[in-house]
Amino acid sequence: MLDGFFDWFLGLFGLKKEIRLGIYGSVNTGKTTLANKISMDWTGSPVGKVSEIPHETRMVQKKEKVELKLDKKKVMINLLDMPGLATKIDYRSFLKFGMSRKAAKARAREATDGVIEAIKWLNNVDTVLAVMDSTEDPLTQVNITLLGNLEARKIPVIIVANKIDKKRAKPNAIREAFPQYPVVEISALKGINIDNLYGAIGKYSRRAK
Amino acid sequence: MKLKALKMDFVSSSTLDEKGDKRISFILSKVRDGSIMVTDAVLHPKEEMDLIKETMRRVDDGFPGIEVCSLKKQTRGLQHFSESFTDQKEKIAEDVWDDAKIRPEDRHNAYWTCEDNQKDKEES
Repeated sequence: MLDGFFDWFLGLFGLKKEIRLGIYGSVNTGKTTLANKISMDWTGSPVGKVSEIPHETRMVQKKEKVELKLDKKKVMINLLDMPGLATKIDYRSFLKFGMSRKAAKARAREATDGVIEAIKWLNNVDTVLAVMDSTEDPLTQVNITLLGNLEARKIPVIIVANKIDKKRAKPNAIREAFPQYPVVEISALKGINIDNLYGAIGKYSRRAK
Repeated sequence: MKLKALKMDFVSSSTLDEKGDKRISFILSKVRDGSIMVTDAVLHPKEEMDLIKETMRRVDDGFPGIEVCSLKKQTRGLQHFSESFTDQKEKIAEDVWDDAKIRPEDRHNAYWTCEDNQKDKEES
């Protein structure tokens, strides 16, 4: 009853309770693994397929009305798992995974479309999880460009330092590279610190306008 | 093995500014032409995203895309700035070696030769 009144009240001011949460980042940082973890935790079903071959996600994958029940409030999110951002897509890089030349070229074409689609979606997200691989150097052009764009558009961002279960993980390098952003260290695969991430989503998310 | 020559184009910010809306196309035409473009111009973050988007539109079998290395102000001082530049520079160098189809063992020799030359200069 109160929830219904709250929705109606927010609607009067052009506000909705649902948050469009975009999961962005470079290729193979674990975006879909994270989207699946969030979706499995709160809805019981996954969002998409995970693969070691780069550019497995080539279209935006959505999971709508995912309700996060946090300590003091409920947050309704529309989960948007984005294709990995890249400045370069060479079809020859797929050949080493045993793909035919034709399939590799088709994958590369779809991947370029996916990057364009992900960039266009920046106009339609309310909060972003910028996923970075803790075992890699975070100061890449993709990360710098992504964060610069989110800042220019005033979109709240949480940096997710993923893969902390790996021996080579150095999440501190991410904190040091981007000290002005909230950073949550997790392993989406093993579910480590995932509750901290849910807390951060509740804390930093902006309501959709 | 005969090494391919690397072509570098130094473009001033004023030249790039003159291009107006065609800045992104101009940069991409230089890169597609096989040049490493160096400029003192600063792209707005949205322009950087447009550059990625436009690059993706132009990717084909012969053009896999671009590598970008930006020198930005860092909050942790000059040393960090220098380190991050060196890291990115090395990544780009690896891609250049790949594109030029130079074997890894030859790359190693090339790096050491450069370093040895530098040491020789310092000692002399």
